[in-house]
Amino acid sequence: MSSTDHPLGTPPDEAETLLTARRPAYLHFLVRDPFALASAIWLLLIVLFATLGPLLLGDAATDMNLRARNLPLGSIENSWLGILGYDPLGRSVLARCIVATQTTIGIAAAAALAALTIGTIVGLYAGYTGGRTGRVIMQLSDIVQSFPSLLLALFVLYMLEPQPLNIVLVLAFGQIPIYLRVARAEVLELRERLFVDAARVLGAKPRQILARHIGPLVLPVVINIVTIDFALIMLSESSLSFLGLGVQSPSITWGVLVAQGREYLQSAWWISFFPGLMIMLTTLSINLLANWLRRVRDPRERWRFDRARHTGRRR
Amino acid sequence: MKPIFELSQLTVEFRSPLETVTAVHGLDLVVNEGESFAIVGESGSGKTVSMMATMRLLPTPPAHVAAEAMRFEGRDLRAMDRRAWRQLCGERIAMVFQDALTALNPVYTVGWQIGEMFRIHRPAMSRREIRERTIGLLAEVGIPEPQQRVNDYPHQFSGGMRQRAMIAMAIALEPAFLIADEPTTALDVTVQAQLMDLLARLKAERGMSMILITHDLGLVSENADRVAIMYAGSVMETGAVDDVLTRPRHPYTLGLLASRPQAVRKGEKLSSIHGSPPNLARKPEGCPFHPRCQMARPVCRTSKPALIAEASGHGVACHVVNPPDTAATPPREPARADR
Amino acid sequence: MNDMSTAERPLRTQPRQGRLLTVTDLVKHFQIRSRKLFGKPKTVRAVDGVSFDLDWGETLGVVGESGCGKSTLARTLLRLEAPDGGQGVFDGVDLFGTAPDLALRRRIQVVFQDPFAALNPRMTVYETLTEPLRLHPTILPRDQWSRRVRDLLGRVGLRPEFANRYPHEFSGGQLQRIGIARALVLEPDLILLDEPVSALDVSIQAQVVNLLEEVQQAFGVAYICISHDLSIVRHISDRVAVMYLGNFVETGDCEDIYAAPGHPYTKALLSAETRIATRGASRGRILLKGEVPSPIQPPTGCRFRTRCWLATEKCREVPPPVRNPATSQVVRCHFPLWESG
Repeated sequence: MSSTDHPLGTPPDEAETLLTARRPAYLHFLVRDPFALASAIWLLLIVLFATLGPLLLGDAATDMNLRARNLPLGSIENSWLGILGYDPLGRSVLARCIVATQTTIGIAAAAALAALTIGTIVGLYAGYTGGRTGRVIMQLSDIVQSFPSLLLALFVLYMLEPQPLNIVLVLAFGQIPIYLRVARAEVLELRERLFVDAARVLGAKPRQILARHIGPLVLPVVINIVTIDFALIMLSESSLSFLGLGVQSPSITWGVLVAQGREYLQSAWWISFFPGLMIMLTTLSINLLANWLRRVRDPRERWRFDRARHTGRRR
Repeated sequence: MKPIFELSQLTVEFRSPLETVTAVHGLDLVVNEGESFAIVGESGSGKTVSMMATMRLLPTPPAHVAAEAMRFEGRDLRAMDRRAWRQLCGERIAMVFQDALTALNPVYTVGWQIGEMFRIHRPAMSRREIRERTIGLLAEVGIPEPQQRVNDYPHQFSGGMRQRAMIAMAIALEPAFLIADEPTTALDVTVQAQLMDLLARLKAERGMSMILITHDLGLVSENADRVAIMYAGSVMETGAVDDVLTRPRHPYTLGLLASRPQAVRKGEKLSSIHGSPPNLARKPEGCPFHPRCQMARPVCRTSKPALIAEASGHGVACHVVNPPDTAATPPREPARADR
Repeated sequence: MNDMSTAERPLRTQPRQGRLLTVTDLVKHFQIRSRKLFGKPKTVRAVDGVSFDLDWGETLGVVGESGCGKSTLARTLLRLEAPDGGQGVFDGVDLFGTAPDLALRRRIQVVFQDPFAALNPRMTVYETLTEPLRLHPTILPRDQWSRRVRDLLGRVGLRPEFANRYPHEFSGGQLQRIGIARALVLEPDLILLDEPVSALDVSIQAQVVNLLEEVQQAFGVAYICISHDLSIVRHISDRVAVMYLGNFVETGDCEDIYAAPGHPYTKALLSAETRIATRGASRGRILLKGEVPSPIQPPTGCRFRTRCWLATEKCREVPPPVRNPATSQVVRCHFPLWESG
């Protein structure tokens, strides 16, 4: 606006002291919440295991040492790798747990990503098109969701081979409806927004609107879900492996390791225990961190963290 | 003129470890019996926050309310415990909010919600009596077919009727004092006219005193006796409505009046106030209005002007109107008998 | 600009004269499902036979209260909804015939009421302002986009640095300026203003209204301004249409209508405006009785008759349009106020 000069020379916009976007200082908040911090550290460790594990400990995981069969917890006489005990074939439980991380996480991540991509795209389409097509898609999605997914997985893997690709597909398939439903619900709300109308008035076609406007807003919601879903998929995969229809040897996942220790639960409990513990800790960490993230990102919940610091007491 | 409601140096802050926002800064207010007092301001002026603070509607960890005095009918509001306060609410003081759709509970019928006033404060009344009184109230506020509408839910009412229902709820126990927070802002002009007419009638019939919070100067002119014009948490100008609106003195008031389309002839540019309402977390030093003021002087940047009143009660907080060297200690307005 | 479409706006060096838009008997209904289990769906007659003209560079103000259908009218004119009946001709092109093509879209733009909601919160100002250019790639080569954005921001009174910020960093008034800038990117011939200042603080409204007038001077664009705020409409409009329950009950020159309304509803509306006056002055305010009838079952004949103090039996027939011989006002009323004196 052609501004008349302010008598004091204050530029007109200085009055509009805008609160520039202040990103939440994530690290600051992370340190305030001990559970979230512990979860973050654990997950960092997991990532380390997944990337470097097979490289560094690959041999240790497969070297059989029949003299070390079922040695208990704390058998560090030969090497520090025995700290969690040995399995029936004399392999270090610790090493195997660490090496199994890669496959476990890999399968779960691949399945989660596949479910997210397919579910979101179909959901976007169903939501924006609406009408009969949208409803039909939702009915199909409901049908898939009502299947007992584990049963379906077992059936499919029994008919086909339990190769990693099939496992990923089967795990993903059961999760697609979740993303579909969420994406569609978001789209239904977003497409009524004024800026979508504005884009239509400018001449945007539906595909352009989905790509530029609606898609980027659906993404955070869906990502929020995948963090939890990842943990669920990991548990499903563990169940499949436990039942023998997961990855086959020599590949190992935590589920497989738990299965392998099944017969020794009374005599050498550590063989099943520690892989199971890994599953539990990882799932728990993901849940805690996702919860923390949600609270931090929501400005209204942030006061919890501030207050804890202010009074020195834990919330 | 006996004062029924007095506020002295009300200050409301919202505190967080990162910053403190002062929403209301030293507000002085006196409403006399039978009077309609308007509080005018835009967003960030503090008009709503000040009343919410008085009515204890602000959650007090982030909010921090302080005042030298807060009196109703002579009684100290701050000293009241919760039970005494709840007695007062609804019985003697009532509040009507801007958006009736969110202020009314959507899962209960309107009749039930109005009846709640009686159930809480008049435990002796029978159900039939309550129902009769409720229907009577709905009729009084001008809702047609009250016997049917008493069983309807809020969403089945139109905006204007919902607001009337809220007013019915507020006057159920015949309070002496009504705080109306932008009661007609969300409504059409014709409905607004009906509603303000209703409020005027109730005020006359029941001798109710009222605080009317609004941003509409026309509304103030037609419905209020006295007015306080707030900006960024402080009062800029106050006094009798006729005085302030026909002989305004503060630059902000002058700006508001001048920027109305009715103030210029067609084809002329509208006069406008520069800039935007302030960010309360980073209020400028000195007079809160100075960054937007065309008459600002260097002293305005450094020192906050006090509200200085004439004998008529017309008070202005401005260095240009009341140059700092001429003012001694500003007399508080109006003089009060008891302290 | 080598757009070959027949609707292309010709390059002009001076503002054009003459008729830009003619709308005849526009109708838009909505179906809502009955609350009963097997009930028939009900029809909301939101826009029920609206006709008007608009010249190049002119401003038509549409006033009405909630439920009168003005928002639906806006959406239908913008082709966000397809009309159920009626014709529209925009500079010789059929407005409602087929789905609007890019060339037509370019020429009719909008400024929405809620400045926060009208912008995508995840796009910077630059991205928002270049989206029209992205959608109409023939308008401006990419290397000139930056300059166009800077020019527009300057024109609406915002600093060029603001281009990299996000909507939540701005105040309402600034956001509305951005909305106006966006409407101007394609240099349209007509901009629809849907309650352009209602969501803004009073002290900011004047700024934005002034800006809208400046823009009209500079670009020669026509406005249709829809609002419930009578004083704003009066200030910027050349002609005014008063809407009630899906119809225009009165149209005419702005000053004529405000000085001597022809339709009782217009008169009631004008009298309901609040004014700054010394107290005690009698105002003769007309208080309408009752509420606005539902647009599902509007009263037969003249829709205003249920609340009109002049209504008689005759009003059960649909009132024909009556033209005031002295002014250009047209009302739909059996008893226009200029006849009763």
